[in-house]
Amino acid sequence: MVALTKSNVASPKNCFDFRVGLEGEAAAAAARVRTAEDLALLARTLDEMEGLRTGGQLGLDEDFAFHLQVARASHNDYFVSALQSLRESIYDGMLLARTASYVVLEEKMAAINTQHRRVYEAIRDRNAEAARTAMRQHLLRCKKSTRHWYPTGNDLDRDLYDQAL
Amino acid sequence: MTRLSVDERPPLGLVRSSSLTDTVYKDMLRLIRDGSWAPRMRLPSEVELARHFGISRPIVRQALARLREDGLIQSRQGSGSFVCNIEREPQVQFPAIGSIADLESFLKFREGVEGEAAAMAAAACSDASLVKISAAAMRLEKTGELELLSENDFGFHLAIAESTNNPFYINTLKSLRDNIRTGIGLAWNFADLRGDFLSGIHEQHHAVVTAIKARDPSNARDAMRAHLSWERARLMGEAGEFLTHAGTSP
Repeated sequence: MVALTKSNVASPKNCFDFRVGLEGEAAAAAARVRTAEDLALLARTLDEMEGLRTGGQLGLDEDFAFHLQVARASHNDYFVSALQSLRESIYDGMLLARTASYVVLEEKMAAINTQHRRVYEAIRDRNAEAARTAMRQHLLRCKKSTRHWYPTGNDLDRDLYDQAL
Repeated sequence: MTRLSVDERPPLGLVRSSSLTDTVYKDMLRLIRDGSWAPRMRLPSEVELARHFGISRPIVRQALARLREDGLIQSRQGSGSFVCNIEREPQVQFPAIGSIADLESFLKFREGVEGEAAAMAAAACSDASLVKISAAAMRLEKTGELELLSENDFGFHLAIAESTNNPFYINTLKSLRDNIRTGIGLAWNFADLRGDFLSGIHEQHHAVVTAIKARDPSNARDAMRAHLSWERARLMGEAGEFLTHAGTSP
């Protein structure tokens, strides 16, 4: 049986840390090579999530759809496969980001939508650097909101992204 | 001191609590390992756990705190504690490299992921990991044959991923092993590529190691990205030439 140690844990923190590099790059690539159709599809995923404003829905499918569409718009199959493989872990992280803090759900959703929109606009404007930064910041903010539930100790002491926000 | 008989041993509450916490913690660990406490399952309440293990609530709490520190359970406001989803390591599936275009996409993908891994290594990897990373770079420098070249190049990149202690990075790199070897193999087919291609790689690996040693995340990221984008440019350039000479337009 495999020994269970911290390094084996597919924790939300580890997942977010991985996604920062992966999806930041995917967003930059999407900004460079996206087509008009890609952009239209991205706008649609954005609208679908913004349409969930009231009613207490978590919008996990819609959120994942936005991220997946950014990856598709990069026209790089490796970004797409990576996201699809990690789907379950990503859903765990998204759920935790919504439920693990004291902020009201509607405010959470509004913040996520604002951050998604910033990514969308950078891709629309073909600004690779802005797209990368917007995506990274979005993921880091989500990760930050799950902070209460981190294991204590080293993970927090030496978090690379502490100064990033 | 004579040993006490069973009837004379002190009741549980008087046993040293640190060793009792240890025992309970290990029992709980076993339940998680063998799947009795399944991923995403909500743990019984502290009262129920105390009753089940025949211990006090403070001991339950100590054992749970250790599991939480391990990252094996997590608590949710108002809902209790849940077993983390750890039943399998994250599996990442990647398409094989079938064309030069695939190779280019593959290297772009690596730039993003491995750049970040290098930054994380610089920020937080242990000294022991750093030794492994340096050793892997040196091992590659001493290698001559193609078969070992791709294996040892992979070994260097894997060492960096492993130093992050993040299973997503580690498993992604492992899944990329075959593709990385295909890439190096392809590079080797382009005749003019060998000499300074290899020395370029060594130089760039060295720059990455230096930045990680200096605990400079930003430079580590840049050095790794520069390395992979250089590799991409060389391979795409050579691939273009190769295809032109072979009579096919790129």
